[in-house]
Amino acid sequence: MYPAEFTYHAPETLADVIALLQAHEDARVLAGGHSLLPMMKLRLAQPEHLISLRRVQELRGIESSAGVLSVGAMTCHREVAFSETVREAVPLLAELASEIADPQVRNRGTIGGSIAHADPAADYPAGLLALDAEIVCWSESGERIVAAQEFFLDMFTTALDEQEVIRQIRFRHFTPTTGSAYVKLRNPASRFAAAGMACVLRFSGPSPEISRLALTGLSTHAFLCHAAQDALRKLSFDGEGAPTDQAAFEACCDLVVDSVEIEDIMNYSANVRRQLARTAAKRAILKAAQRARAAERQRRR
Amino acid sequence: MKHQISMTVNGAQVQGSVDSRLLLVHFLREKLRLTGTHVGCDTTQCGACTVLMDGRAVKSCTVLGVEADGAQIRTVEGLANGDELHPIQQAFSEKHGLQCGYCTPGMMMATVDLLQRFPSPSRERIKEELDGNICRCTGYRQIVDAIEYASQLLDGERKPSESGE
Repeated sequence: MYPAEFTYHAPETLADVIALLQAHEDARVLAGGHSLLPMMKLRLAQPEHLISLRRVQELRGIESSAGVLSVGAMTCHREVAFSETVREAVPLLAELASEIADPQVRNRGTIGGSIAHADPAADYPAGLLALDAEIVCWSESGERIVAAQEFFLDMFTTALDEQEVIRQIRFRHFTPTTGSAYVKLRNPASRFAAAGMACVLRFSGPSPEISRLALTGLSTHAFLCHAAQDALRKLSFDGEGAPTDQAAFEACCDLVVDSVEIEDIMNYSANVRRQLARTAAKRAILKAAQRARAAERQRRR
Repeated sequence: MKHQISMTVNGAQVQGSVDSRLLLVHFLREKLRLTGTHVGCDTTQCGACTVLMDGRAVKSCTVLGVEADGAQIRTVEGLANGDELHPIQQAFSEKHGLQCGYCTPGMMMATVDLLQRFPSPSRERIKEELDGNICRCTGYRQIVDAIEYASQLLDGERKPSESGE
């Protein structure tokens, strides 16, 4: 209904945030609050101290320069989804952000909060893996950069140290002929991803030279689908982005859940989950391939 | 622990001394007696608590009062201009976009944000943008009708019907 009692802090600088984390052992950081506050209202989390980030200007802003897009940790999903800068530089990110939760949640939820919380079905982790993003963490010792592949460790568990906060997430700009897609198959009630697939493709001739596939909602955390990525690079796609060998393409999609143990969960059996993953993969790859080919055609004009 | 907060609600400056854990929805309902904003679930899903915070629709049950310090808040009570209904209210009334009315304030406040972002939305777009609002009565069709009509009223394309048809 409402949270247990806590002491609220609203510091103005990152340094103050770190100092407060050091001073109070049972403290949680508050970003948009749309993962943490629901937990606190159900008393699943009862931190004694809540350190709000809402005044910390160092965590805000979207910047793009020298081929790198930097998104401040406190940037909300709506802002990422609607940003012209993001749409031009890393369109997958804008597409993914527009799929998170619902409009009201997107007005508060933040990219930093989402990845620090690391819900097994959160959307951003899949995107960050597919984009090979870098997470800029901040502590008393200063800046520490963690690659996305090393960041998501387990359910609600990341590489973030106890007295560390996420400052910024960095992405390399898309090249002109890169195509991407994020396909989310939602649990109809919770609206979380039952399967969320992020795909980044770039062709060199008939086959992809870049193929990145990341899946969320199937395991304890989002993961890259290495076997499927490798198989994808051996496939041929026509000028519209359709695979030339349908059977081989289906076999490639089967591989997305090759590396993980899928369990039965409350709403879905393991079989259903595998099928959802395959379907999300199929749709995401086809969309990304179409977009990559369209980008190539655009370039030739 | 108590905090002094101040914010603008429906154009008026308000102040309060609140517990850290007081939710914005409870501040609005219980401290300010603005009971048009409703509490409908415990899980940030239903959207009956939707208000505008600095122009954007948020679920006030998932915002702490202390987090809204300094913000501009608009609730359903702030839609009408004196006796003159807001076009969104007019539309919900004419198109019968409600039955019990419990979800309606949240629906209308979400609509303000929706129409700001998508001034002439398709029905498909409206349905997508209502993802954060649940209605147990209507089956949503009249709500979508109302929002479509509201976008036309706001566009000046149509005038509200006098007979309410």
